[in-house]
Amino acid sequence: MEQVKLLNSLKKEEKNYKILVNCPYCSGKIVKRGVRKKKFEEVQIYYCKNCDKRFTSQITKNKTYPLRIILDTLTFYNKLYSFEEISNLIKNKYGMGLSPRIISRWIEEYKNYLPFLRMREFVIKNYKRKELIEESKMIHQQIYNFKFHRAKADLILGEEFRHFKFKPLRDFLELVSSECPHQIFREKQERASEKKEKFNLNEVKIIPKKSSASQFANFVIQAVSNNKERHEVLEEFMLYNDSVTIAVEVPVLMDVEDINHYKFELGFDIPFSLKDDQYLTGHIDLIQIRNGSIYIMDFKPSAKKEKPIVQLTLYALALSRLTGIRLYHFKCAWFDSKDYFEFFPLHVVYKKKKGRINKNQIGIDSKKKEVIKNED
Amino acid sequence: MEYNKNNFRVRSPVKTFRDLEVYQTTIKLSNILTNLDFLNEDKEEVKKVSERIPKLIAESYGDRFDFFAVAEKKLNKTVTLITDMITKIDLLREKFLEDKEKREVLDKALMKYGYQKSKVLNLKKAWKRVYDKEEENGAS
Repeated sequence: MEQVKLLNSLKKEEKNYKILVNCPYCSGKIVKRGVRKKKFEEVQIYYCKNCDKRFTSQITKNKTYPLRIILDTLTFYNKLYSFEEISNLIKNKYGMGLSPRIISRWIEEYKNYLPFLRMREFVIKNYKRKELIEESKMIHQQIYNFKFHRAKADLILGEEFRHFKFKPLRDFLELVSSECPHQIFREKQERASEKKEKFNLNEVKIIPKKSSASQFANFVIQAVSNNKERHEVLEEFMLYNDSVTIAVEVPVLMDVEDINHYKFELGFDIPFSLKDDQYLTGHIDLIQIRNGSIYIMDFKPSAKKEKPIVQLTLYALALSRLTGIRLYHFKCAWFDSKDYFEFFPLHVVYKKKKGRINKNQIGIDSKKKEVIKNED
Repeated sequence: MEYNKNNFRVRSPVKTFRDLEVYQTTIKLSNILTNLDFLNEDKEEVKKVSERIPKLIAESYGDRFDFFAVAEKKLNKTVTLITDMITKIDLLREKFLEDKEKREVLDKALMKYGYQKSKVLNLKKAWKRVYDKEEENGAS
């Protein structure tokens, strides 16, 4: 119910998209024409030749402070900092002070993007700021910022009975920082994101959906102009401020034994094998727990054009093996600021066998029909 | 590799203690130190202590599944031994203060042992969060 409410409220703000394609007044063609200098930032001005109007993107309208500062302030608040501490942190980072009134106004204004607020009171009572998040920088060919929201994971697992079975996932994430075999990730191994083997995609339904993840992306991406930074900022914002993301940049790996287990023990259709000393490695962008499933999410800048089914299925297989949670409980999804697609990884590797009809069953059915006819 | 049905996957980022970074690094450090030719009369002691460190880590990895308290004790002992090792290397460093080459080798080992100490402490914290809870749940 809450999710529906959130979606409805976010729908109204969809028009706030920064990269305008058409004129918001006459839907005509627009061109970029100069910038407007505001107190703390410069904003792009667009011009419509058709109706001769100039405009900026709506999200920056009537805002003195840049959106990036607003985002950081909201994240600091959900990192359990007080208003005074937030003001100091923003001053150190950006060189401008914020009054407590502005901070509380932003929290009220953007509360639709902060579902974590409903958990915040409980978290403050039970966790210290240091215990809230487990994080570590992992130098695996490139730098990955692994983060695990301990408090949120505990709350989600305890909140609903159907989430209780995902406890091994929490234990796994708890151990990642200290146990991760970095040497394997540092060596040149096969990456799940570069694997091009073709799985049989019959019976795999890719379901496009309206998701709050896309709404979050739409909101956050506007604050970051650098494409490389977007990924990280979005992941951090979702981890701290939504109510379902429990970890980001999670390292996973599979070896030949794991692949063989899936192939020979479970009868899964996996179109490749690994050598004895070979590993398949990868880093999951976001892990969420919601609606009785574990979601493996990947942010793709143009989601509509891409189909990272192999990559996400391999992530799900690896995480299922590492945690001991059945693949049945996993869902995979990729999204950008407009679109969101999801599928069941189990459907990729395991096809339902067409059931043979039992002879006795036919006998029973025909007898039943005869009885019905006689009754008539 | 032929599939062995009995191969069990531990629910953890690593499969065996041999995959643990602290274990691998302390093995390497022990090997480097015992092969140094200038330790003379200190060699035996350095060998004994440095080899005991990875051994304790391996033992505690196994124990954590049964009794976390035993594993915790062994990790505490590991930290104590690393501290001993650091002190020993520091003493050796003073001894060879004039010799730049020897001092550099010892400095490197010193730095790495310091780093491993904090890693073992982190490992203990993480295990405590996971396995201590499990024991509590089991008892209740």
